[in-house]
Amino acid sequence: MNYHFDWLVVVQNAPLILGALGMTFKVSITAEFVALVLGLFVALARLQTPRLISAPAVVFIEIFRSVPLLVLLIWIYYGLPIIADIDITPFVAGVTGLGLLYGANLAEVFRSGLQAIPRGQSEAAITIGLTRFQTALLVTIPQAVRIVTPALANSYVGMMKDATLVSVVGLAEVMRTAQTVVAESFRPFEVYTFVALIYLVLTVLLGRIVDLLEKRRP
Amino acid sequence: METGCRDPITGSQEPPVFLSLADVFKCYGSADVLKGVSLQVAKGEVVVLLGRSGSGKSTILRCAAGLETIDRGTIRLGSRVAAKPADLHGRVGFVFQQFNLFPHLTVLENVTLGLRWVKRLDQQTARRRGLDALRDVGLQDHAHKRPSNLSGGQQQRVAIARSVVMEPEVILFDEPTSALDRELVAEVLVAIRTLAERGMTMLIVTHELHFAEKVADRLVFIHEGRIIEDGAPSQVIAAPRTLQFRQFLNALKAPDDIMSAEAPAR
Repeated sequence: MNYHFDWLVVVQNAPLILGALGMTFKVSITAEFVALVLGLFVALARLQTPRLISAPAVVFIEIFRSVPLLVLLIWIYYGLPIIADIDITPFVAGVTGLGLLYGANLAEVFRSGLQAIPRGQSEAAITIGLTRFQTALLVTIPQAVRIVTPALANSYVGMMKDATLVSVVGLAEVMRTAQTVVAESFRPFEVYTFVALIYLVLTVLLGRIVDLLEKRRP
Repeated sequence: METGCRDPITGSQEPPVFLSLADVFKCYGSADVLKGVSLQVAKGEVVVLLGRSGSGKSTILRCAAGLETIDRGTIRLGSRVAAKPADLHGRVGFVFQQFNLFPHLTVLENVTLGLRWVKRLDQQTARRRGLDALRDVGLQDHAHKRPSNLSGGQQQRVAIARSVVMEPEVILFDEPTSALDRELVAEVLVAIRTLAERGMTMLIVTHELHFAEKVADRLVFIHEGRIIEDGAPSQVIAAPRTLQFRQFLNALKAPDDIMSAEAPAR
């Protein structure tokens, strides 16, 4: 192997690539927020007795847990505008795709958390006179959230990594920016190694934060 | 059903029936648990419900609190018929065997949750009433602890305070001391007796026979989904009318007899 490494490319373009982390976080945090809200509502719907409410939730979960993220993103960005006559930016496509897919996954996480709360909790709340809505809001959801917090934090680590896929629709996050650097420098090994290292460091850091969250729980 | 039960002009002179179950049926799947239960509790009355495990006594309470729908029959609270379970929510207090305190809230928050969200009291008033209710069960010093830091007996007393503070028309107790270590039973029974002395209407499922004799105005025995004994405790215990109740009483006393019989041999 007589390949000559040129790490100068990385040094020169590091500010550019690291700067794109802002977009990575922006798209992943926005999508995580969408997924959290969506996931909670879908989980609550999934647990209702009337089929009219629970069935759509089941269908939603099945669909978005089955479709690969890459397919979903491309479908939203390139496919949807053709029939819907709307202009979708790469950012909106990314948030929608990640939000839907992670929403379906988090719905199952929330469901397991809600189901872990003993029935006696809601029965106690109901006999006091709280409505079903108040019972969910004040008694069951707060307890379920505590149970699933580590799982939610872990889901964000996955979200951050999966946000690289949004590069496929042209969002200028870390991966996309790296690709443009490679296109100009013809140094894929050095540049993508750098990108991998960025994610390694971020994942390890976030992992530590998740551990702290888990330890802090009573 | 609603009309003609009480004279609205003269008012009732006899102690009004407060909680009444009339010909209540309830089954879970193919298992008939209640087979036509009729039971009345007058205002201020303390009724103790006895029965073997699986006899339907807990189910009676759960139906009366609106935690279960009934298949047939009528449940009446005060002068109104409860057409659906929700009509009973907030009006019938319930103390569970497993306490069911809210673990994510402090003791005081457990007691004030209903005051804040159901009665819509402001924070200060709710706090004051919550602390009063905790004082009544001797736990005002534990107001800011989590339930998990209390003993079982203390937790059950908090649960009683949480129920009483909502000023329910009747309180139902579902084996309130069965999950407790023996030495913690008395403090809970004392709290319940205090409520009885204050005239609280109560329906209590318990195996504490001495407590029932002292505190209950009436003792009711349920067997296989039907009430087969109903009367003053001393009278019912002294002279059981049915074989089933006699056997039940013997079974309650049996552990003591067995232990005293076997102790010398060991």
